[in-house]
Amino acid sequence: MNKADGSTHQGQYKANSLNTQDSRMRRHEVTIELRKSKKEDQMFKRRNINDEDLTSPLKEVNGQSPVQLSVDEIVIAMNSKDQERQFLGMQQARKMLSRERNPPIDLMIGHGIVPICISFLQNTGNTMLQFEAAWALTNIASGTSEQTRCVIEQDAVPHFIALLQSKSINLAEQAVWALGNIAGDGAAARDIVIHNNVIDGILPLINNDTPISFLRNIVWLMSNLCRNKNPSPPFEQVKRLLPVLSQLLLSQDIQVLADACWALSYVTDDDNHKIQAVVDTDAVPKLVNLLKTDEPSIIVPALRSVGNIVTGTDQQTDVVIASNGLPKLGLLLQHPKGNIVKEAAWTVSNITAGNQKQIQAVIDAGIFHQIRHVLEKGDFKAQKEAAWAVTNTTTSGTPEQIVELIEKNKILKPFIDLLDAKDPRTIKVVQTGLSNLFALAEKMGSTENLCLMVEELGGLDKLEALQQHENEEVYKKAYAIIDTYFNTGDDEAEQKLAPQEVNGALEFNATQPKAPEGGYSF
Amino acid sequence: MPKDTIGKVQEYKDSLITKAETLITKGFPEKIVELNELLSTPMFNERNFNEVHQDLNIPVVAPVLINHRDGGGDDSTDNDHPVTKRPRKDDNISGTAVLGLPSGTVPCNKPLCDMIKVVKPIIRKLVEDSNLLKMWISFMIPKIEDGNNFGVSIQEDTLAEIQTVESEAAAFFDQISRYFLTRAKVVSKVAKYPHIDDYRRAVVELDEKEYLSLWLVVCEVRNRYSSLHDIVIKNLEKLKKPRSSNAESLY
Repeated sequence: MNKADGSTHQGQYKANSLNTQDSRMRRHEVTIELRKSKKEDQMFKRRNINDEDLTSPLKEVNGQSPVQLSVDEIVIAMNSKDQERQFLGMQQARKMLSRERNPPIDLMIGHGIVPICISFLQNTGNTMLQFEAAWALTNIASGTSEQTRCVIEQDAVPHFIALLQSKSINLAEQAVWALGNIAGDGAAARDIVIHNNVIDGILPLINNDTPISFLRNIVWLMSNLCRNKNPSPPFEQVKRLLPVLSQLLLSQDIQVLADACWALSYVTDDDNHKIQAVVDTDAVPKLVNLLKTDEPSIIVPALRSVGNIVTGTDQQTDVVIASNGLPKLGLLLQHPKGNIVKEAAWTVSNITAGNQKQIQAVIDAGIFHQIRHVLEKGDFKAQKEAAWAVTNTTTSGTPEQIVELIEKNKILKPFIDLLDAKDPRTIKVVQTGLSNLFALAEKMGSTENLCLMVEELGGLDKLEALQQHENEEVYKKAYAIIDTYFNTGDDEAEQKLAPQEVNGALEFNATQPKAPEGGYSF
Repeated sequence: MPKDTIGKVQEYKDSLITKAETLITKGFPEKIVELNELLSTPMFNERNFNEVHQDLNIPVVAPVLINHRDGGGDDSTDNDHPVTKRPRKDDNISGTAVLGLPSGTVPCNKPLCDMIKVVKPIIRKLVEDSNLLKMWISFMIPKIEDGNNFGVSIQEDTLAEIQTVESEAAAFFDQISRYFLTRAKVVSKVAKYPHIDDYRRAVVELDEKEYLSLWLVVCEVRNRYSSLHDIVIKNLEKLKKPRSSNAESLY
């Protein structure tokens, strides 16, 4: 019964003017209306909580497109005319390329993303787009050499260099990072970056206000610009970095210090005139100072740099000594890390390969005491370097200096013990040292004394054993020493067993601190 | 129903009624005075926003660039050279995964915590009191009849009022837990992006807002007590006896 249409009899009654059907419908609607508004209230409430859920601005941007685009869709978006779509596509691409595991670099390259990114780099009106493109290219260039080459070949480098001047620090930093990856690929890529005037671009970026993460990236880039040989980077360019690098050695930041030291280590690992350029920036005292930090990540490259510098001229070595480098080296010879001990010993060995004044400085600083410890207890690599330190002294040192080594530092025993070393190179170093000692002894006429000492310390036995060594040089040398100095006949040997009977003041006494008159003797 | 249960229920009702009547006549005024005094203490009166600022103990440590180093310092590697290339991972958006902070925990805002310690029991008491009052009024409501219901509507209005107060009081409570959650979220953002000053500022602003809210809560609670007390006392007769006999109203 439809009461709504007034044709029914009931509908004509006044009492029924209030149409119940209508009312019922209205009531339903109102109730439904109420229910609806309540529901919205509920939802609104929940939304309220979400509003209070503070998210980072980055998260908001990320949250906008929860739908994952496929690579095809990404490329289509990036190719569109609409800047918003370009940005979203670019950002998705960036995210894929910056995920933790196996970013699909080759896939992206295959879809032609690199030239698009490079064109985005030039969109100066849209910094966010440039940033995303730069980031994506950074990660592509962080892969294999082939992948990096892709970026270089599409001519990205000049555009990155231009971005170094961007007002947006994030963008400039990303450009630095990308250039770092490119330059790190190898000598050729590095030189392309340099020839595009990267150094003009980065030098103005370094000042007291440079944010630390930015500075770290710049220094890392600089280290890559100095790195690699065959060929070495163009020195007129690299030279411009040196004053800045020297200044950065005063930084408080560990990563900046480490990378600056590495950069200098690369530069000094080269000709003496390059070493001189580094020395001229007053870097040496700062490097020496860094040798006493607690951070191995700083010690290693600083020590490497110092070690490289003392392979240069005597004057360059003198700068290290003048900066009080020797006591620091002495401490490093006792460092818990074997690597550092080895490099310190190597550095000392290069100083003892210098002139006698320098050897004296090494002696005066008590270094041979530490060298002795290394000979006795160091790991085999460090032992080899320590052996070199001794042998170099025997080559260049004065007789007095050499004698002091033997008498005061008692270097002979641990030195001779190294004849048991597994590494034939170590054995040869010791043999060379011994040859030098014998040559000197011969000059002084105290060969027999030395033979005695060597024999007492077990050296003769070792040498005899070495005559069977598989290495040709080793057994030849062993034979030579024995033959030249030990085979003087049994009678004579027996005679020399009583040194006191020898005429003259040529007496050997190991415990005698002072040299007797008439000359030095062993 | 067995006789003692009925008896027990009646007992409960009677004691509730007595309790409520004592509460409204004595308890409420006492509470109002107490809250007034609280509001005049230095904790709530004329406090400077600066006093609720608290150091976060998150130093502006520049973010550690992951992937930069290959676990340097290992003796087995001959050198700890810097890597030649490094990709920028998503984690590296100048943020650190915060599994722990180098300088220890980030403390709660102490002045605010002290205030909350004071305010929470007050809110709780209001919830309990209004709940009690609600039941009291409900028990006073007579059986449903046709007519002479003016008093009943007074009761119903009062009941609605009390219900509102109870809900509001519960909401104040909720506000406190939400404050901590919100603050935690912002602080975690500060920890993750320590060099973004706006996050740090957000914490400060949040604390100041909470300080203002807490003060407001105490005010509101006091106001509610006052208004409830007022409305009940004014209408006490009708609340207790909503239906007068016709005879009384005539004379």
